Amino acid sequence: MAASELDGIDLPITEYTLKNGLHLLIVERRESPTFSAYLRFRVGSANEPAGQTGLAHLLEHMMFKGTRQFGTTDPGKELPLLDRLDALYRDLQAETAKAEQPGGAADPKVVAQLERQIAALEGEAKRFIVRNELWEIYQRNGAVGLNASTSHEGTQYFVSLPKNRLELWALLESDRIRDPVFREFYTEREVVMEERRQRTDTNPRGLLYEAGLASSFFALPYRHPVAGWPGDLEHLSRPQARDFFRAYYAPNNAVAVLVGDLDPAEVIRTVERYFGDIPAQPAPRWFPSGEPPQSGERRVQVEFPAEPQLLMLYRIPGLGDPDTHALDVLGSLLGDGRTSRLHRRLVEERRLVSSISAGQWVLRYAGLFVVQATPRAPHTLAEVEAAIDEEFRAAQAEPPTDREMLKVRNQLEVAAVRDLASNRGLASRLGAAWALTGDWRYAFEERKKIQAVTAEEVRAAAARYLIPERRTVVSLVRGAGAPPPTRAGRQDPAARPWETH
Amino acid sequence: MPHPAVAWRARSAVLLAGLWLVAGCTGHALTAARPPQSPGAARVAQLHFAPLETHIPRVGREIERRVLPNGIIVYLAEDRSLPTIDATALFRAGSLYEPVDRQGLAQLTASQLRNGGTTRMSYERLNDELEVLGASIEASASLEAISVSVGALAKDSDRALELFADVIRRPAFAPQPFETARGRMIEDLRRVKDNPPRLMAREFSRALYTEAHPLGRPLTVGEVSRITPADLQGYAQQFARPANMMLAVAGDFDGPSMWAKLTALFGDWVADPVRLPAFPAVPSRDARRVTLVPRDLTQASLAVGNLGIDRRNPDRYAVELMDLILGGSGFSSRIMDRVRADEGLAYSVGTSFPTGWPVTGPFRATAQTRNENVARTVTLILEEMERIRREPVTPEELARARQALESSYVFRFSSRYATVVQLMRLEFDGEPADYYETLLDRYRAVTIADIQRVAIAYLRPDAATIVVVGDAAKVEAQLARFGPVERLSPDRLE
Repeated sequence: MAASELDGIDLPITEYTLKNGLHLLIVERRESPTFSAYLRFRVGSANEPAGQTGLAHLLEHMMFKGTRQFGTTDPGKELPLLDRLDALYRDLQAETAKAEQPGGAADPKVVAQLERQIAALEGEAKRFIVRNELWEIYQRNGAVGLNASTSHEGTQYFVSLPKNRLELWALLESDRIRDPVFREFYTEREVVMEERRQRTDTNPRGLLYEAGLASSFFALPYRHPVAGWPGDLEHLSRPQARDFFRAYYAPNNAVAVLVGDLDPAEVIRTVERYFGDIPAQPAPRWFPSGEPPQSGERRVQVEFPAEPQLLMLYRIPGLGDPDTHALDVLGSLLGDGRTSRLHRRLVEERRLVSSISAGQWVLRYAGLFVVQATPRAPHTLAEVEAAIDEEFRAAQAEPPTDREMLKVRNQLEVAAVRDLASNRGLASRLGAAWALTGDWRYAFEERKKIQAVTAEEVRAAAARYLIPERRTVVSLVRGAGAPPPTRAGRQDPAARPWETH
Repeated sequence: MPHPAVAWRARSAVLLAGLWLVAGCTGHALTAARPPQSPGAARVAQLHFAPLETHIPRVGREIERRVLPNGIIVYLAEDRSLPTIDATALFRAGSLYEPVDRQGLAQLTASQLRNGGTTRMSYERLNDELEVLGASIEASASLEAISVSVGALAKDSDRALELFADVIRRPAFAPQPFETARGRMIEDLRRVKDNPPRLMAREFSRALYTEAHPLGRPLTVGEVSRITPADLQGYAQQFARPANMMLAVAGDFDGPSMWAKLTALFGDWVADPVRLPAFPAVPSRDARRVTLVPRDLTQASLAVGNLGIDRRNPDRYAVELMDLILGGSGFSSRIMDRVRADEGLAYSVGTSFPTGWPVTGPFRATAQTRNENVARTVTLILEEMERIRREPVTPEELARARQALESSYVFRFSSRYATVVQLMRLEFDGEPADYYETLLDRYRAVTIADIQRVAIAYLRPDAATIVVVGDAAKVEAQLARFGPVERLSPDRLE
């Protein structure tokens, strides 16, 4: 393709930084009288202190529970009750932990007494709660797509509103990052445990990925699930969430992106007015443990009462490494679309699998090239693995054809145009690029670099990275699965098959 | 945890991150609410918002409706915001029109319209050409429609539309891709039981509609194995006819030349009458039914519900508002508030009450909760179904449910393409052309008494169908209090 479709489209982006460090990106798009807002903090589950996995995600849930002025009828009476609850939960944990000491036992009378006190105090605190108020106010004002999400390296809050609700957004969002109150913390912890059960403990694919990440990284915190390990989750406390919030939810650690029918000057004025007085914090000091080089192939078997599945994860470099651009093309060539090699060979010609996907997952300090396959009975995981290896060997021996390269480039081009179709999609793309690299242009420059990848670079990347020494192969095979937890949310870590290898 | 299948489509390293969301899978972001009691709410009440008029696009203004001589109805809209075009063709077909002994036919036919090649072009060449263009053609089947859509850069639109017309008019249903697709479908059916919410949904439909109705008959490996390419060919010939087709097109083009293009592609297609079978009647149900599907996992998946209404029912607007208050509006609806926010029993919980189905649709509350909490969760759901029948909702609840619908209305028309597809869909469903202009008035006409009346008429806690997929050892005794428990094997359909 001679000229880029993107060359014809100029994004009118306004960039502004408040004195407290909050970074603001505004894109004017007048197609619809609405706007999308995306507020992202440079923090994720990778930043969690040891023993507190799941905290970033639970905190994200807590940000919907109100503040000193929202969600309560009387903060003066309510807040002291919450502090007393923290103390009771701390005592309860100390008592139940006795059972985990050699020869120790919890005193059931003390446990029952504490549980009674907790129930009574929670009942008292409830009297002051105006529940779900943030959601109700947003929804009454026409919000759609109100949600938030947490990943290993980012936490983001998003919503779309009619264009005349800009000030409402600024009021609600600035208030909850200035002065949140984590009320109903311990109930929400139960909700998050249910979320974990739903998405991981009862979900074969969830288990497969959890085992895959835990085995691919020995040191980097990417080894921990975003949802947290059950044994950590059940002990998370409100004071821990407050400390984590203070360290990472600072204006100088955040970017706000607004895309839609907005006047940039008015956005800046409004954001200054509402967010301007939130104090900056010292930059978080966080350095992940470096990952040692992988010393050989790793194989993990997960037993679960379900049909078999295969996951192969190859260690690759992290964000910004030029090899990730070639690997992006390689992922597309192998696993994207009906004419991709793995689909054509394994799904259509040999009918070994009902579906297969391939592509890279790139984080700041490391990445993974991931292949996932669902075999078709009666074909075995071993047959599928051998067939994938065969395709990898072909990719290592010969560069892709000109037509394959053309296909990948054209599809990138189209994706670049299609991305502009939605305010929300554009906001998250720009915000993610800024949060991870400090420059929103990265979202577009990276694509240009992928466009420039040569066929030989793709072959070389396959030869360098898609080798057994760099991989972890996870097989899900039929079996009983982990024994049920001994009490609510508690799993016996030794019973997890992927941790015993 | 990564969900790479989604993330990879973004084609950028920046975006590849596993996401955990605060809100699960429950319906619309619309809500009922309580009166402002907090200091913050008082501040919000003082904000002033400039008036915002929702502009509702209509035929004859930004959208053109024309009919080809052979009967194809076309909705057209120019949209110069991006250099792309998009189109969707709708045919009256789909799973409700399947012959009794050919279940799965609609789904396979849609799949092979796209994947089976055409009489002019093999499926390999078609796939290759589309992917080189970066264009997409996809087809899918729903209850009462088969749709085929195309999307491309404007500069490639001539070729993309040619391929689109070819797929619709000249499908080949080649044996090779057919075998592949059927085999994949069979593998997928083998794996239903690995996905507890999906297993629950299947068994709920079966219990509610019974196997005498297509909506209740679970698709099986045996049924799918019977289908042949000839069945697909016959089915396609029956529905893929000009008189049975509607088309919506939007994008970067000039109206008259697009009309000329469509005329050239579809105008010579010979019109002939289309005869569609009538829908089978939905059996009525008047007694509690409790079904347990044993699955030894740490969490159970449950549904509580009853038969609802079809789209000809004039109560549908009251039903929609009632459902928003009861459980269909996420966090602030009553069931979500009690089950999740108050008691922490579930992450995903909510109701759905479709009102747009051509036959009686289901009302269904669903939740996923620890096995130990199944009875408690079912009880809370039944209590809330009872309460909205017994007590009038508060004026605030109704006002705010309506307010949420009104103030988010503008989002329904935020893309031109989505708008033309919606207007086409109105005609497909037999709704008047001014449906969207008068819809808010129909919500405004609903009273508190109407809400209670429809709750009494269409919520049946006494005769609810309750289905639980869960650990039998922990769940069975709990369920006995709701009625005699029928126990099913999750493997019985293999």
